[in-house]
Amino acid sequence: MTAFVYESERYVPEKVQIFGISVEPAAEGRKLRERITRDCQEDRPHIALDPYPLRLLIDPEAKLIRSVGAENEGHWAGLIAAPITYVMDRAGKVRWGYVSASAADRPSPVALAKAAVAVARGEVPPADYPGKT
Amino acid sequence: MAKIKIGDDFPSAKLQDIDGATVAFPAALAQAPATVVFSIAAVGDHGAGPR
Repeated sequence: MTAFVYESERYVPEKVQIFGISVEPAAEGRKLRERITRDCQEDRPHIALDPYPLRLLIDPEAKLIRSVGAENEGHWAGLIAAPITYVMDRAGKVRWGYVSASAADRPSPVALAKAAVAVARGEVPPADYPGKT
Repeated sequence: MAKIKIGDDFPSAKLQDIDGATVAFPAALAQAPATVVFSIAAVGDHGAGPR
């Protein structure tokens, strides 16, 4: 996921906003943010962190997670979110998506960035970087 | 199984960010020309987002 931040030079000029959603407590999200911040400060000082390029949300009752059909109730840790990624336009329409087969199956940051930038520009996401829904 | 597909409206929901601020969907989507939303899968799985 840190790839979002590491690719922020693609998103920031286009004013793309990025939300990560978890059913975990806020404290876990703050730990993640601290880790990303430290990684950037130590290894990628060229990445601007103000404004922060990623906003982390908590969904403890999985309301939104269930609404998009990404709940996974069979995990050993209990209810978790299945990995999904969507790009929406300003009107709230889903324009690109990637529904992962597993936690290890995620869109490449380049494909996601190209799709998000295209949507931000009012263009159709490029066909050579298809999503998976 | 995913319940939304390309062309659908993103669902409504009101969540909090990790600092306690409220974020309401779909209103939050109007704040940017494009918005990426992704799920963080599980405890200890923070590295499993987009590569």
